[in-house]
Amino acid sequence: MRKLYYLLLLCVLLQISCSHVLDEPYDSRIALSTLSDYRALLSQAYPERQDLFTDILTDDYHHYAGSIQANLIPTYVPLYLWEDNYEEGVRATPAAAYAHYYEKIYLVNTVIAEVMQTQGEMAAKEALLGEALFVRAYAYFSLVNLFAKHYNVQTSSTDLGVPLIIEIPTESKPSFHRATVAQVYEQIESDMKKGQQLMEKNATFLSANPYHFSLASVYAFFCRLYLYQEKWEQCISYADRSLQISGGQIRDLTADIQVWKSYDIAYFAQEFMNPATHKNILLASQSESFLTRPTGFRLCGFYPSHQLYYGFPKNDLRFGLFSAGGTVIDSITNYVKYAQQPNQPNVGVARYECFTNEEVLLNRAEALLKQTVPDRMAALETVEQLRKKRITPYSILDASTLSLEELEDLVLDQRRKEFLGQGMRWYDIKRLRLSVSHRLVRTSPTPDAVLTADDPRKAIQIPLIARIGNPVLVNELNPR
Amino acid sequence: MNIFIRKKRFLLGIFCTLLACQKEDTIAPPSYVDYFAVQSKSPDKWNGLDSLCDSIYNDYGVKIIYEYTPRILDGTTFFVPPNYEKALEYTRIILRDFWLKPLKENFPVYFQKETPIEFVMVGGYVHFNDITVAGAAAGAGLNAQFYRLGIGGINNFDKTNKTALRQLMATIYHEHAHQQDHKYGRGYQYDRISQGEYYGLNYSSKYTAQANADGFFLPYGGYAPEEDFATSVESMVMNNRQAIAAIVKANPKLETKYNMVHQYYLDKGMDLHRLHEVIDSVIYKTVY
Repeated sequence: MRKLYYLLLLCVLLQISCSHVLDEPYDSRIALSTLSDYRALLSQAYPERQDLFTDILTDDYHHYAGSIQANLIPTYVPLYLWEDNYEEGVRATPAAAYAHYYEKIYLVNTVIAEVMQTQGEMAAKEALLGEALFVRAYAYFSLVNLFAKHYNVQTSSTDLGVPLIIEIPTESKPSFHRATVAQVYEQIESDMKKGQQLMEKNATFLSANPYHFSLASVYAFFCRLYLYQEKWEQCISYADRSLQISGGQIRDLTADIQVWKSYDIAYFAQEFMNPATHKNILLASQSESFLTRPTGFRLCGFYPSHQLYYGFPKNDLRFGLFSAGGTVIDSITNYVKYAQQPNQPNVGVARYECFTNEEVLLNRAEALLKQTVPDRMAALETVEQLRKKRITPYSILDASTLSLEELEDLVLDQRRKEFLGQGMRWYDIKRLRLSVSHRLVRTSPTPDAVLTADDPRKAIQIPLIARIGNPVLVNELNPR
Repeated sequence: MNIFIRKKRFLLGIFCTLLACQKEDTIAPPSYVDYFAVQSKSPDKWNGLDSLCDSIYNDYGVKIIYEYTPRILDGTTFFVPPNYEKALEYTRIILRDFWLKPLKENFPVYFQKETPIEFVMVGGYVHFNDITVAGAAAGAGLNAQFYRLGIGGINNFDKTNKTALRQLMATIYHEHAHQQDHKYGRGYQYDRISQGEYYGLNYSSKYTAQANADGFFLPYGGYAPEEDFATSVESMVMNNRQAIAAIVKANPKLETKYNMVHQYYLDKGMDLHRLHEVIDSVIYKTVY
């Protein structure tokens, strides 16, 4: 009987202690309660430029086996050949990008779902919600353009997109089927339209931080969205709105090169994408790891192709950004724009651009040429705004001597030169149906892999790690 | 009874296993290759070049290599050994008479401290990765080592072409400058002089006058700081003091580099202007 009393007493004591323990959070998580909490969460939800590895999928880069770190080979050589069986589990790969963007979507979904219920001024909450919608749209835009075919109004309603998760999952082990490309684009546009309305309405509450969406970068995002969807008039309209707000300042490359001369390449690279000193950058991103792992340093193994390098006009200031990559025998160059390169793949914080005035200008020029009634003069005038800051000595081009096709080529050529090393070329290859051939030995007469205009491999395969976590994807892989 | 049968079956099994073992062929152990064994020939098998190399080793402490073993060169880079006759001439004229003998006599301190202990002769040029691919180097890949110098193109050696002989000597000192660079460093300040102005691969489109105006002794020096340093030495071997003084007037940066490199070598016991005179004197006055 006495034992029973002791047992009961112990139970009572345990109950008391439990209730005390349950008053405290069981780990170090912070319960979101104020608007500041959600603002901080949204800052964390901004994605990094996890798509920069795509440069090695393009014709801008070639492989040189003589100077690649051995540990990079199983990851990047298969990717270079557009194979799906690359080694996952490292940074700067499709698998890392997939995980990264969904991780950010989880965070931003929390902001979107809860921010309006928190305490605070309505206008400030709405401004934050608007910004959050753009962050989610940007993450999905990155995902769908990496892991799906390019948007095509004829086929996108059936083309496989990416899983659309727009609410905080509450199930224990949920499955997510892939939406179609059209559905993902509809979600992106819907978020952007709603976000635009909220941000415009509450413009005074928007962050002035260049690492956060502003109206200028929001319009630049619309401009890119409609370029990819071939909605030319809307692309032009949003380009104009973005340029009007930002002032359309173009990067002063001479000043950047002077930084290189006055200091060194490491400092130059660190500062190249600093939005505080570069007003052409409409939205910047900062990462805590080196995201351009297959390019940009001595032992990366992938370098600007000889065709590109030797075809680059010497009177173009952008030619000055090529630097020697190894001994002269290696015949390699680096094109450094990010972080403390060229030879430190494990550097810390680095800055990257998301939207720039240069892109807005070139999007506008392309749309002007491709709209129902092409405006060649306006298109050339737009391109010339960039060219006159890049070509020395500058000589103006005459629109009357250039055919529509030549002008389109000019715009594409300027895109290639201006955005070299910035992870933009891959999307141009997809949307413009360009072919690419890659060689393992760069002087080989025959390519080792060829990517055709409508090659299904232009949709990067859903990563293995994602299939393990979400097994329904096994039956929804990109066709090969 | 059952136990007995089981034992019999067990023994039968063992016996069969042993029979099966007997059928196996004896596995021959892999032949042992000692990659690090010193494979010197015995003197009774020496040819004329071996005797010459031996005397050079005794006189100057440099081991001349013209035959390759895995200990000498690894298998990742392609080297074509030199033609015997060419190697013999090259060793006698370039290595002994033009390089080591004048070096020891005129710059004993520098000779003692800085001379590499091995010299590898390569008949063709050094091909990286693939023997069929163009892009060969005179000495790259050999000269990033503290103890060994190597030069390619021995099969093209022509002792009658004195202009080419001067260039050969300049190449030796160019490659040796890379060694000095690796050994001591060319210095942070040296790299600051033309920071951000190097041509990279575009050096091949420049002429010497343009390179001088841009602050480089030679277009190739504009490739990168390490070649800038080596071509500075090469230029001082090829040109006399007055000619160098005229070249460096093209750009103050060139003058700064000249002063730095000249002093760098002086500190090690080598006056590059004197070296130029010595090399010219042996090339133009020696009977060979």
